[in-house]
Amino acid sequence: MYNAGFITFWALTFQNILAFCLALGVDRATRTGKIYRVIFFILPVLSEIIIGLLMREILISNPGILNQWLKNMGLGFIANNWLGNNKVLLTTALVHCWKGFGWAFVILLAGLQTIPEQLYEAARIDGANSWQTFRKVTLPLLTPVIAMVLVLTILGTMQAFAMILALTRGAGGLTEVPVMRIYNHLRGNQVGLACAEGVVLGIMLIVISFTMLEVSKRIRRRWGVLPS
Amino acid sequence: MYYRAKKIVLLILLHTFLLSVALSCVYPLMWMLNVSVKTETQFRSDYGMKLSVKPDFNNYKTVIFEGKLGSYFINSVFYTFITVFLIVIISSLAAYAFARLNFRGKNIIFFMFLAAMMIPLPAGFVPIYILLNKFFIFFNTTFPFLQKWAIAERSGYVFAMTNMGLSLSIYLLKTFFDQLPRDLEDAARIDGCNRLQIWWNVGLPLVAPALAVVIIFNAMTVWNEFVLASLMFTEDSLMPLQVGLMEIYNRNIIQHTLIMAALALAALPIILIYLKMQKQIIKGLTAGAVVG
Repeated sequence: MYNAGFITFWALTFQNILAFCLALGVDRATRTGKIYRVIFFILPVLSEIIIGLLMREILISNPGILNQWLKNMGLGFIANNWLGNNKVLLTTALVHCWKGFGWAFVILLAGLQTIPEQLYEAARIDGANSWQTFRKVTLPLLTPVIAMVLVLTILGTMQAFAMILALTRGAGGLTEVPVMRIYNHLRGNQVGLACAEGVVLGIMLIVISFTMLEVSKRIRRRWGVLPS
Repeated sequence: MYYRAKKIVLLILLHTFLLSVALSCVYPLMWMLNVSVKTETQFRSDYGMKLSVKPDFNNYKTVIFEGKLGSYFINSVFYTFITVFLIVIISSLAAYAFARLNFRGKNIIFFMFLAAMMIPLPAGFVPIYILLNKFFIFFNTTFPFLQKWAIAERSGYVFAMTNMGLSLSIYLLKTFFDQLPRDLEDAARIDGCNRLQIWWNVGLPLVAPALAVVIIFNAMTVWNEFVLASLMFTEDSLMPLQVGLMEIYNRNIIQHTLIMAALALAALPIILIYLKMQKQIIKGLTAGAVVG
């Protein structure tokens, strides 16, 4: 549970901020936006197992492809035992973000492109600089989309399992997430336990998603943004 | 002039940032392809950093025939096709019924489907697994002559995956059927169509965009499904691709080039299909995820 929380925290912050910056950047450089969208969405399209095994091959300490790359680029001091006991959870979280940011990016980009151009023009005529425009036009209009992305991220990350299994093999319980525990109990014929854990996890996810929806509704009402 | 220069510098910075992220997405895949055509000794000497000039496709041959990747692949295609077919037929019929017919308990049944959509997969797969085990025992004792082809296992998995995809598909299609103008159906009825013919000739062509979303989303879900499949299938000949990849990895844990060939073979068709119809796939997947 703690592990899943840790990964979710990274996914919520790192992945979504990265996706948001990318979406803003691509929106700014519209002409080539399509290519970027295609490239960034390749990873979510591939299955979790493929990504997990590929990254395991790259990261695993022997032969250590990533470490070799880092050395070749003169960054040898970052080289590390990525799937060792100290780093494994962080690595898992980062790989998860790397695989998942395409989702957030595509949804946010779609949201950005629905904001009508006239609003930006109006803001410019009123003398707003780019930060003010972002703060007063882009962000409020994007709030529902952001809330949706956050809900999807939480739900998706709490259910992530196959990638983690492929990447770390559970790492002796160091990357044990809820679904992996259910899976292991089911494998070990502790069906009742697995069932109970499944129910608890399900209730938790439903509660989280409802709270997030309620919160986003409140925010929208307070900031006076039209529901989209 | 100043503003122009500033803009250009900003654009260059933006593109460097975007390109570096894009490179981080594509480079591992390129590396995978490059390694998969090397021999093990070549890989040991340069770790796949150098471009292989003389591609060697023996890895692919080994993986397909000895590694059974071919049979995993065929299994996956089989499961995906049947499941998506069933989902499309059942969910479009059900959605049409929910949108157009009036019968007792309609709302209750529809809300039951919506409630099923709320239950996340981890809470669901334990009961499904137990239910399927019961189903196998029942089926194999009732029809022992079918055991040879493992009909029970295959159909059980297909039914379970169909069931998981149904509620979302029904919800999506119902919203589309609700928006269809009734006049079209009246015209068809005057021309002598019965309900089923209206559904086939009028309803389905008009909800084609939603159908595309349903097909793509469910196909990707079934294709990428791992948890249930790995719990259910213990025999090599039944496993779909995702479970098979794990098996191949476990069997050849030190033969990196072989594993890369297997991964490349599993990834390439998806990437090619994706590049061919990326617009529909992006739309389908995001729409499905947002509704769910």
